Amino acid sequence: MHDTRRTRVVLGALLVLALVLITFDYRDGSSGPAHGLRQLGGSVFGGAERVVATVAGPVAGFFDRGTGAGSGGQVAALQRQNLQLRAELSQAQLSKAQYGQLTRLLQLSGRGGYRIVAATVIAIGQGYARTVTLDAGSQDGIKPEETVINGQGLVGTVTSVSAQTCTVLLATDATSVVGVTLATDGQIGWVTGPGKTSSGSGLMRLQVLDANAGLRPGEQLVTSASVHDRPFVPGVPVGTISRVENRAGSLTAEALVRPFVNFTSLGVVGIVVAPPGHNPRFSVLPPAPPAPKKPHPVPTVTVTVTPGETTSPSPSPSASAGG
Amino acid sequence: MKRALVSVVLLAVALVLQLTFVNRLPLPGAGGPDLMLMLVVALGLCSSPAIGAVTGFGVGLCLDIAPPGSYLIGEYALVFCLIGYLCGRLRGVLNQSAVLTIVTAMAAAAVGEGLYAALGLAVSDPQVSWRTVQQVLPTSAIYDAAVTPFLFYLVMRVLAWADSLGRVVAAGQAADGSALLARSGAGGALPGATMASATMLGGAGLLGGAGWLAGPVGGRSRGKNGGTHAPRLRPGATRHGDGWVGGAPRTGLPGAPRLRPSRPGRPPRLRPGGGTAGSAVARPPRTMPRSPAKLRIGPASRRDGNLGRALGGGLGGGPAGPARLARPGSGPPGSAFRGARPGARQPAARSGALSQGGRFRPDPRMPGGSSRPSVSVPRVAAARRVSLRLGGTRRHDGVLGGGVLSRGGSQRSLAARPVSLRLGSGRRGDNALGGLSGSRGRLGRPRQAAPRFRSSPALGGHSALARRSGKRARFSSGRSWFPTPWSRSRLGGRSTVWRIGSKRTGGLR
Repeated sequence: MHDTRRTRVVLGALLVLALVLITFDYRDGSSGPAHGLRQLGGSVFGGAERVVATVAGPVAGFFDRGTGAGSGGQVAALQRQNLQLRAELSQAQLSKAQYGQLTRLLQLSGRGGYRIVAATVIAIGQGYARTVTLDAGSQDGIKPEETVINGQGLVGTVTSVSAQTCTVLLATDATSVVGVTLATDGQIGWVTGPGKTSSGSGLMRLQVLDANAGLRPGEQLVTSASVHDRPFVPGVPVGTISRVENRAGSLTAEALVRPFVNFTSLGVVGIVVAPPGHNPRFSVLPPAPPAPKKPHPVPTVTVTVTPGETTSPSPSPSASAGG
Repeated sequence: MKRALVSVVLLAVALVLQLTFVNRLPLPGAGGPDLMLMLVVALGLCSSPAIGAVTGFGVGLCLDIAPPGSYLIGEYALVFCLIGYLCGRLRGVLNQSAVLTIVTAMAAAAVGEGLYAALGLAVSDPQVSWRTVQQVLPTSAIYDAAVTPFLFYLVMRVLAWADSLGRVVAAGQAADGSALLARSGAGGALPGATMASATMLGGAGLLGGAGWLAGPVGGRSRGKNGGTHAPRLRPGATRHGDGWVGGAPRTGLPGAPRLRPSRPGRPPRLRPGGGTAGSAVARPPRTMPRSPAKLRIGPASRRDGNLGRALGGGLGGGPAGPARLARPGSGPPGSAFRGARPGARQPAARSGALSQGGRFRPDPRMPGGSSRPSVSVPRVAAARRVSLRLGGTRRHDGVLGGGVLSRGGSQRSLAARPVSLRLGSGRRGDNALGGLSGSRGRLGRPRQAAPRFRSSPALGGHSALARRSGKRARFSSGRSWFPTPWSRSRLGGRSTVWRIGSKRTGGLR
C-alpha cells in the first residue's frame, strides 16, 4: 500500500487522538478518562507484570549481584547441572537478601510505629519518570498518597492504585517534593529529586526556608508531617547532607542530599497504611555517623631522603593523612 | 491476520519484559534500551505506513497506561505513532541492502528517543529537563542502536514464521519451493505464462518472507525452512504490474520484492484486485465497485484505471448509451475502450440497461466515486473529477474518456465536452472524463434546467431515482444541503465556457 490519503487520514486521526489524551491527562490526571485508562492498564498489565516479575525479578537481581564478577560467562560455560545448582544458589541468596531487607524494614517500621504492608517491586518505569510498580494494590488496603519506605528510609509515595498493583513515585523523581526536618536543629525545608540521571550522581536537592541556616554536611533529614499524614508520614529518614551550596543572593539555603535508600536496587518495600500514633521525631534515624569533620588531624610525617643514598619508595604523606 | 496476532503477542511479551526485566538491569548510564520503540521500528519497516502508525499508537498507548505508566497518557502513543508511520514509509530500504536497513532502524530508534525527549520538553513534563535529556538521551540511543539489529532480525523471523504458518494452513501442503513449483506447473504454463506463475505465488502467500537475509543479503539461510526457497520463484511474481505493492496481505513482507520506485506514477494494471499478484484475474469485479474512493485521489493514485472503467460501465447504462454505440471508435486513440478488460463493465454499458448500471452503487462517502448510471456520476463527476484530472495522467484511465468522447461527439451541441478538454490540461484521457460528465447531465434535457443540477452534486441513489422518475424540481431545493459555493465556483467557472482544445465553442449562458 502506498502512502495513500487513507493512510494519512489514519495517521492524522491517531496523532490527534494522542494529543487529546495528553490534554485530558494534563488537565485532570486523577479523574476522568485518563484515570480510567490507567486503571485499565493496571488491571490488564499489572497481573502480567506480577507473574513475570516472579521469574524476571530474580534473574535481574542475579545480574545485579553478579555485576563485575564475570559470573555470566562462567555460567554459560558450565554444564547443565552446574547451571541449575548455581541458579538455585542464586535464588537462595536472593531470598536471603530479601529476607534481610524485610527484616530491616520491620525494624524501621517498629521503631517508628508505622503500620506497613510489605510489597516487592515488580516493574520499573520507562522513559524519564522515576516510578516503580509494587505488587500490592487496593485489595491489600493500599490507597493513593501513602508513604512508601524500605529498611533504609523513604522510598516515595503511592500515586495510583489498581486492584493488584500500585505505582510509586520515587523520591528521586524530578516531580517529587518531600517536606523534611533537619535532625539536629529542627529546621524545615524540602527536598526535590534529581530526576533520571546516571545512577552515580543521584543527589537530591535540599532547600531550607531560613536563608541563614547553618547547614553542615552530615546532617540527617527526616520527613516532616504532612497534613493528615498524606502523602508523607513524619519521621522517616530521608538522607544526609553531602554538600552545601552557597549561592549569593539566594533566598533559601541549599544543599545536596544523599538519600539513605539505594534506589537502583529496590526490593522489598513497605507501604505505610497507618501513621504512627505520635511523631517519632528523630528516633528512626540510623545511629549517627561519626562526626562529619574529624577534629583531630593526623600528624603528617615527612621523610627526607638525601639523593646520594639508596632510593627507597617514599611514603606519600598526603594519602596516609587522609585530611 | 496471523501476522497481526503474532505481532500482538510479541508486543505484549516485550512490554512486560521491558517493564519488569530490562528496566531493572543495572546498566551503566542513565538511559536504557527501549524494546518497544525498537519493535515499532521493526514492525513499521516490515509493513505499511498505515499499519506502522496503528501499531505504534497501540504500543505507545499500552506503554502509557501499563503500570507504572508515563507522566501523561498519550506521550508514547504520539511518538510511536509517528515513528511507526515513518518506518512504514521507509520500508523500501528493505529491498536495497541489509546494512542500509539496519542503519535505518538504528536511526529510527534514535529519532524516536529524541522525539520523546522533545515532546517531554514541549509539554513541559517536569521529569524531562534539558539536563536530564543530556544524560539520558545519548545512552538510550546507543543502547537502542546496539540492540536494534538483533531485535530486527527476531521480528523478521517471527513474522516470517507467522506467514509460513498461514501459508501452510491455507495451502494444506508444505510451502517450500518445490511444492510451489509443482503447483504453478499444475496451474499451467509455468515457463510461458508468467502471469500464471505470479498468481500461484500470490495464492501461496508471500514466499521469501522468511527473511530478508534470505533475500537481499544473500540467502545464507536458505533451506532452513521452507519459505526461504521461495526467492527463486520470485522473478515470476515481481513483474511490474503484478501488484505486489498494493496488497494488504503482503505489503510488509520483508523479502517481498517490490516495484521499483523508478516508475512511481504508473499503476500496475492488475492492482484492482487488492494487490495480490495476479489478482486482477482472480477477483477484479468484486473489488472494483467497493473501492471507488481510490479514484478520487488524483493523478498519482493507483486505481485510476478502475474509476475509468467503472464509470464507463455505469454511464453506459444511461440514456447516452446508444450514442456511444453509434460511434464506438471516435474516442481518442489509446483511450477508447481500454476499460474493456475482464473487470470492466463494458458489456453492461453497451446493453444500455439501467438496471445493470445500477450495480455500481454510489458510495455515499464519496460523491465523485459513485457510479449511478444516469445522475450521480455525471453531476458530481463534473465537479470533482475534472479538477482532479483523474482521467488524464494515465494511459489506462482513458476508458471513460473514450466512451465519453464518442458520446459527446454525438451531442456536440450539448455543453459537456469542452469542460473536460480544458481541464484536462493537455492530457488525452481527460477529454473523456469531462466530456462525460457534462454531456451526461444534459442529455435529453432542456438546457435551462441544467444549471440547477450542476451545482447540486447528487449523492447516492436518491438523486438517481429522482432523475429517472423525472422529478427534477427536487434538485433545485436539494442544493442547499451540499456545500454549494464550493461546487458552484468550480463548476460554474468551468462550464460557462466550453472549449475543444483551445477553441472556444460556446457557453451555457
